[in-house]
Amino acid sequence: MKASVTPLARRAAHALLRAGGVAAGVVVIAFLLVRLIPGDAATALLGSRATPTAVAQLRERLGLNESLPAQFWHFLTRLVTHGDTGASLVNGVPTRELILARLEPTLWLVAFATVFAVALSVPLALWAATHRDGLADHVVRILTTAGIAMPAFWTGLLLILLFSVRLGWFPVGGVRDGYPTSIVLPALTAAVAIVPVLVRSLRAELVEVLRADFVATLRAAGLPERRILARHVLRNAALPALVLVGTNISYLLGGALIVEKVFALPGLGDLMFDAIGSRDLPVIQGVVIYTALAVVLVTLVTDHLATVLDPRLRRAA
Amino acid sequence: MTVAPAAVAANVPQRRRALAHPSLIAGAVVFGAVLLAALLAPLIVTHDPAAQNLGAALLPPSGEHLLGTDYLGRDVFSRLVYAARTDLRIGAVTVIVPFVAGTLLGSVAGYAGGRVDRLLGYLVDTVLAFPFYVLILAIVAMVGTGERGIYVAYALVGWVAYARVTRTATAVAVERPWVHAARESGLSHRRVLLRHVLPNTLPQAVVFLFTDVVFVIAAVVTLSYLGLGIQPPTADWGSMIADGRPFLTTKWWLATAPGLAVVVTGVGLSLLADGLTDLWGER
Amino acid sequence: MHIHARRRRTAAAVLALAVLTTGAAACDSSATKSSGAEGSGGTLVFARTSRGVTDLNPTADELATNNAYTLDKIFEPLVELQKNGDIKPLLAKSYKVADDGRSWTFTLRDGVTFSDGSALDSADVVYTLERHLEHGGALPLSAPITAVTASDARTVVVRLSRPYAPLLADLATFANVILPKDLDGRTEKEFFNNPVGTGPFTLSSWDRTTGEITLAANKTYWQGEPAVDKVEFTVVDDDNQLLQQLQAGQVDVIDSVPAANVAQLRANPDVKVTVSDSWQQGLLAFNTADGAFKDVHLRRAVAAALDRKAIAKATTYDTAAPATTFLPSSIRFSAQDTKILGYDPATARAELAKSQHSGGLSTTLIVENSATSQTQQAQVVQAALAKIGVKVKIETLDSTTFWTRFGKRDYDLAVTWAISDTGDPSNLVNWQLLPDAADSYHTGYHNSEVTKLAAQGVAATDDTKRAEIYAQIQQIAADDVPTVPLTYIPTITATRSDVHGLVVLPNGTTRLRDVTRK
Repeated sequence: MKASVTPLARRAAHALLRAGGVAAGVVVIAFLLVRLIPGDAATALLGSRATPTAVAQLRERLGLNESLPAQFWHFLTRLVTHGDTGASLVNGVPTRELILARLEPTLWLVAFATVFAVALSVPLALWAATHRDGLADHVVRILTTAGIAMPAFWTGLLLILLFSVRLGWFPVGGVRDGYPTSIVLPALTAAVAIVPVLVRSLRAELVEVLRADFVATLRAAGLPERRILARHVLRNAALPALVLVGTNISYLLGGALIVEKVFALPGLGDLMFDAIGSRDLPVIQGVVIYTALAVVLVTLVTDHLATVLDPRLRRAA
Repeated sequence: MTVAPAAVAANVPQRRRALAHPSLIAGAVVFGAVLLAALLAPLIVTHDPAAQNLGAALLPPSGEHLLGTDYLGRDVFSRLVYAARTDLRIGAVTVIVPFVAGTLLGSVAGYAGGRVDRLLGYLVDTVLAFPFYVLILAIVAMVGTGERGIYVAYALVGWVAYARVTRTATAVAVERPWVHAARESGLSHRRVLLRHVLPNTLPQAVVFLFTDVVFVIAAVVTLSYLGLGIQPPTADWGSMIADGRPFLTTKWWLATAPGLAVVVTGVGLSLLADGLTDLWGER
Repeated sequence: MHIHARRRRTAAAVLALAVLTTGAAACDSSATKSSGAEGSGGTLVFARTSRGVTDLNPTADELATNNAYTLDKIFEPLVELQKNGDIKPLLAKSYKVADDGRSWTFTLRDGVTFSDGSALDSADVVYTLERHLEHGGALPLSAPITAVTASDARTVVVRLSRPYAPLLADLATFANVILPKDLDGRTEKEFFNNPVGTGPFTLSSWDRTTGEITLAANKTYWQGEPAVDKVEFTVVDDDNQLLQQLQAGQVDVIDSVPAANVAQLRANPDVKVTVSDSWQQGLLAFNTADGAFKDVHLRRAVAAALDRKAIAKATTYDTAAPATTFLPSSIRFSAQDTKILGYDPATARAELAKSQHSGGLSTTLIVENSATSQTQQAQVVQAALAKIGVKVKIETLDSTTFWTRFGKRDYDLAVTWAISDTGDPSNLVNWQLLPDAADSYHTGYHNSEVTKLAAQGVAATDDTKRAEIYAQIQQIAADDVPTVPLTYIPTITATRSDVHGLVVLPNGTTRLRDVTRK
């Protein structure tokens, strides 16, 4: 046990360093990316009243006429000193405040999507793995491929149609009904997109586990198959599933942003769509940077967790 | 129930050989049907997909219009079939640049290792840090809506997955004895990489290519749905879903039929990819 | 074995986390329920699209729709717009024009107080108008005002350098609502964060991060306290969600019902749909300064190729009337008998033959991607023009890109919309046909005859004279075709069927002071 601690620590240090580099890259890309989008906040705010004079006045007031290096310097100093990307050009609220206020629905969504994804994929993967190359395996395979191909917004629409409009079990959207009622359908939609990815990896992993020596030993000891599955195999599958969600957090989060739009959830995705629409640069930057940093952090933690959990990887390290 | 482990192992190759092909066959049949429909669209459709008839808008399905008409009186079935052309074409074209660039970069990084490998790893991590749609939306906003925006956005983002897949495969392949042998016989790096490594790593990238086309079609459909994808009046499944959305509760087929088309195409492609994995895995 | 134990612990932790989240969720949900989103009878949940409320300053540089449509519940103008477009006294109980048309005397109503209890007097009005003259803002006071004076506590005199017919219409806009003198001694920021007005509602809470705002009934409102206790303005920026939340009873009022869903909503007994005349129009704009559409014959060919009746019917599901002139029929002096270039393929071909592009041409059309009926109209225009040999490529753009390009006149054809700020024809003439305000609504159109007539139309105080002038302008616009007006778009609102007394005004806003729920 002791011998593996030092390389593990070194590995962690390397990973941290790399994450820091990625974070720096993210900040620079985010800054440049938003500035390449045509149109500006002045035109967005004025809309049909965007006359050249009015736009010029508003640009001046919003400070959009600064040079690019000057803007980058302001942006960087504010980010470092205040952890903020500036006040919204639309309503003057600091981006950090906006993000904090909009965090709740997104956190609920991601948390519940994770729970749903694990709860759905573990049994499916188990079913497929225990009936390897049998009918069940093929059914699961087709179900999950269908899951990959279903655009999240379309899944969302169908779920709304069935569970909200026809059955009336859940609100059609928004968060006025509170959590978790408001979040069930959106989370299910986001989960459907990631379940196929999880099931594929888990199935492969479970096939390995089922072949493992300890399972054979348990079988030889005469333990009922069901008990082996429930007590030993399943338990060894849930955590890897969670780790898998972590590795795919970027994908899950990206999907969640679209899902928020379909269900009119006032979360980060909604904030970002609005900000892109109104060219609210500080807010787009803020959302992009903070979500990217969250992704980096989650990936860092899950990678580390995976290394700690997986003896093979640890040996490799 | 309690089969001896040895027996299981012995059974596997036979059963797999028997059942791997069904996956391939099923995939080929499903996807082939979609492809055929796209290719033969002019022969299949009953109406000009762009022909409007404002007086006959939003008709329910009938013998004349198999899936009814849309809000401009266009035949939905004909548009559905023509949309296969649009989306398959865009799906196929979109993945070319990411496939080539990603495979190449991944091979070089996996082969060279060291600093080059670390640099690529850093680039991959940075791109992956951005939630997928955040990058795509920003780039599309930058380049402009329509096909060009999709190509550029996906070229900038999509290579990462291929680079990852190929890099891992290459790093494994490089350790193989025949690669060592090839190097020792004095062949250039380029020759070793192209002749001896790539043929072994390419199948994995190709398998991923199929899955990626599914991702791309889903992404294109999503962009069209957000009004940032295919420009009207070209039929595509995404804009058809978007057009049908106001009628979700009254004329449900308008939004569900194109969605199902996406799902069927995706299942076909994925099964094909699975079949190929099994087939090449056996070799 | 060690690993195994650790895995077990972590698995247990994960399970605990899951239970905790669900548990916390359950608590959270019960807490929100008690705040009473529905069913309390006194609260009206009003869902709107687009951005939330960002500012309540009536003279801000940008007056976003939802800002305007909220501040008009808190503040009131001297004279008020009616449902039918008339203008009636409100804070002023009467007004008088001098014979030379150069001075207007307003007598203030007695007994009007601001929500903080202070009485309204002429100093407040003078302050408000002078402030507006100074600030300008999104809807500047374009009247030739030379002085605003208070002759006594209840009388205000507005002096003009020349007669100006649209004065009352100007004074009835969102930008001329009356503020307390010196903003009660507070700074602009302090005041508009916690405004004090004479209107039926006061600010109760305002979440700056979402722009969601709640107004409370003004208990001391001079016309009597409104029947609803609270109005919650929420933002639902998605048509489908808007409709379904209304039908599910999650919200009570929506003010932008998509035309496609009117029939469906009408079939629902729990919902009431109101289609009201508005000052809004859908139009096809030409870049008349650069490119092919500089050619008036080409523009005339396009106008004659479009079947406006069919367009209105198909793309607005019979909710909008086909347009004739650029002045919607709800606007004063709209001359519906103007001889327009109606749908006539023969004329279209004849005009095309007279143009420099008799062999047809290829061109592009820009349209906003967010507006379903507009993208639909773009496709109908495309199909119609194909028939006369004009090949159109459609570019759907996100709103900001659209307005950026439209504003820079970086386009050939554009399907878009326009709304009048006042019901006076001078406003639309100024905005759409004169180069000074907005480059003739970004068409680059210029006609000195129109400029001359426009000046006369503003100065004439006699209604018959004005009608004649505006009829002339409308005829010129119909002949020169800087735009093809396509539809007169109504405001479509829908409410739960227990909501009564909602008034929808032609400028698109709603009046809530008489709303009751039963």
